[in-house]
Amino acid sequence: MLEAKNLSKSFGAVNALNDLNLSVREGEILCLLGANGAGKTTTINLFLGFLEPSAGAALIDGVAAHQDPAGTKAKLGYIPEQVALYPQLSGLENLDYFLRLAGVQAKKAELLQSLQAAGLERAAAGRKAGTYSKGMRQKVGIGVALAKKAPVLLLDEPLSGLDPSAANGLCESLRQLRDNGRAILMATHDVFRAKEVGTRIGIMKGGRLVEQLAADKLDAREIEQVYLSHMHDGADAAHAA
Amino acid sequence: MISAIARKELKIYWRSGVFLAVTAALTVLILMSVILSVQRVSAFERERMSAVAADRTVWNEQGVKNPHGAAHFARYAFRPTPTLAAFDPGVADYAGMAIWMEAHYQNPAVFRRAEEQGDTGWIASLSPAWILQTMTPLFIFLVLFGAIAGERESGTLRQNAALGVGPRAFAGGKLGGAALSLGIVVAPVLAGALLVAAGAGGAVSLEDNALRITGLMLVYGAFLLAVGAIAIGVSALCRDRRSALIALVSIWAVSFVFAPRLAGDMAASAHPEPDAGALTAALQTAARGLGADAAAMAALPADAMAEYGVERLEDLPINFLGYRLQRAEEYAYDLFARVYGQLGAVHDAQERILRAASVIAPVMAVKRLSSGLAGVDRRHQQAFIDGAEAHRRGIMAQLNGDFMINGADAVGAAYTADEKLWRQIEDFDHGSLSFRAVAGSYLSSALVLLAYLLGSIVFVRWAVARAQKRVIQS
Repeated sequence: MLEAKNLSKSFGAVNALNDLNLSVREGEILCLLGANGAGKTTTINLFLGFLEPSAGAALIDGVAAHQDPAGTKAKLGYIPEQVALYPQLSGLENLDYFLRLAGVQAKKAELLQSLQAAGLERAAAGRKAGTYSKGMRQKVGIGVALAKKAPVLLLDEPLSGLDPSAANGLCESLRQLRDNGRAILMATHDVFRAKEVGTRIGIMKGGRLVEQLAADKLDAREIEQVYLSHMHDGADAAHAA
Repeated sequence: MISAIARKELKIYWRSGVFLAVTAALTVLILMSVILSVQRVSAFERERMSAVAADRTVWNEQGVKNPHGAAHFARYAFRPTPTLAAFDPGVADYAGMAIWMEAHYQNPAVFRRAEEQGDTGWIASLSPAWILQTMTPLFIFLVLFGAIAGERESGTLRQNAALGVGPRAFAGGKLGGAALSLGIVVAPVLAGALLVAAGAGGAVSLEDNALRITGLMLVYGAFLLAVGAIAIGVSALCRDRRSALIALVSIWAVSFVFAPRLAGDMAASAHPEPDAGALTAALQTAARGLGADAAAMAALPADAMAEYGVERLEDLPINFLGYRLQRAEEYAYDLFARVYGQLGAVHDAQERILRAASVIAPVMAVKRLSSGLAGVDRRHQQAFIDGAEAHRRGIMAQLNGDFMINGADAVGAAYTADEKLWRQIEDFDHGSLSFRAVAGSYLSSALVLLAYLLGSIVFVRWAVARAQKRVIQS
């Protein structure tokens, strides 16, 4: 469903992504862990077609994102760290607008259903989005992906800044989406939440995918140890140098 | 996609306090200016009608006298109130509105409204046209400065791009939404202002009025659309709303306020008009005309005798003095044409500078088109002057003709005429210049406006593409 084949991206002399190979199948969540600058967001931007790869390809359903941006975007749901909504419009109107951009026209009942499925209360759906918390905005973002019936979801640090309750709610929504057959790629700093929702966990460092772990084979503590060991490798090497 | 974005913009604008306040202020300003302008123009029109009637009465009741005495007693030609002067006063307040049509002399137009207005003169500048040309762009900038910069700051620009919205659709939707939001307010207010103003102006054909009003709607529609595109484009180029607002207010001050004023000053200093004293001297020289040409004067008796086929002056079947007066009038035509032609050349040169300036300050092209369509520009004023001069020549020919024929048996100026003749002299009825007849002369300004509109649309698309590229690659 979602595949990176020898994917590289350079910005001038800086290699942001180096020969990345990964795949996410239907019903899977791949969580990418890594420090800032590890290449997580660059990977997502390449799948979004926002960037053109220096080498390799970011494939969605077998189609390179940079070669058919419109076609591949139609299959994507994207939830950034801060879901941006129009504050003068209600959650429902925001959803309706973003769906129309995606070429989907839904009835009000269907829109409400999507928002409720994403965890947003019915009463809140009619309120101006300017009054929403970050968690509520994320739910509208999930609602867009749900209503759009996007088979692939890209999430860029969606959990950062959420209170535990909102983070729990989002993780629950992601698990439901996974169980409904979505292929999900999520960049995050949160090892414990990654273990909670992920099918697999990828650790990125210096633009490379240095490790892939099956989430159900290790507990969160062990995953953290592996992650920290990779991070310290670099620090030790730098220190030794 | 464009319509979805435009509809969303429409919703957002109509829920925005700033938009509502700005459009309400704009509507009130235009309506107030229409009311004030209509009152002014209606008062002028009443004054003109009463002046025309008084002039006719005084003329008809001047008593028994020689027709040439009546030619010096003379009549006034009053300029008809321009069709849409209540919408756009143009040069109407600064150009003379009456011409004294006397013998031997092509007088310049006198009685400028601007001279009579004193301390209230500034009210005249608060015309609907001025508000649309100068204030409305500022209002549009105040509404649209955050159009893209705000989306960039809030993150929705990236969100839209992630859903596949390209620069063409985004720019089109943004511009369409802004045009729709403002158009809902401005179009009916503009149409209403034009119709009310047309009602206050001079009588013209319905077809001509419809043509002028449609033209003005199109001109202001294109102009304000281009201003909106510029606002959105500049907003897209700026990093945040604050810098977009500063940039747009600066553009407004330079392009819409200072540049037109500067261009006017430059035109006047590059091609100064002759001072009033020099013009009067030139006109007096022209008026002496035949009298100052000894050879032509000497040839007159022979000319008259040849024309009427007689051998002696006393055998002429006409009054020779009347004949000489008419020949003197005709002799002066070219002389006056030369004096006014030189003045016209100065005005033409000034206009060329203003036309060139419209490339950098397109509001100049709009001013020219607006005043032309409203019937208040120099071309319409010239048509009044030409009409008055033709009427003066007609009056002189009629009076001199009567003197020649009916005074044939009288010696010199002993012949007299009375009210019967005076009543045969028709009132000056110039009507209004048909816009269709002069439309071609506004083509260059229309092309500048069209180029401005197309350029602004290309600019907004380019600027939005640049903003999107920056935001998705960040």
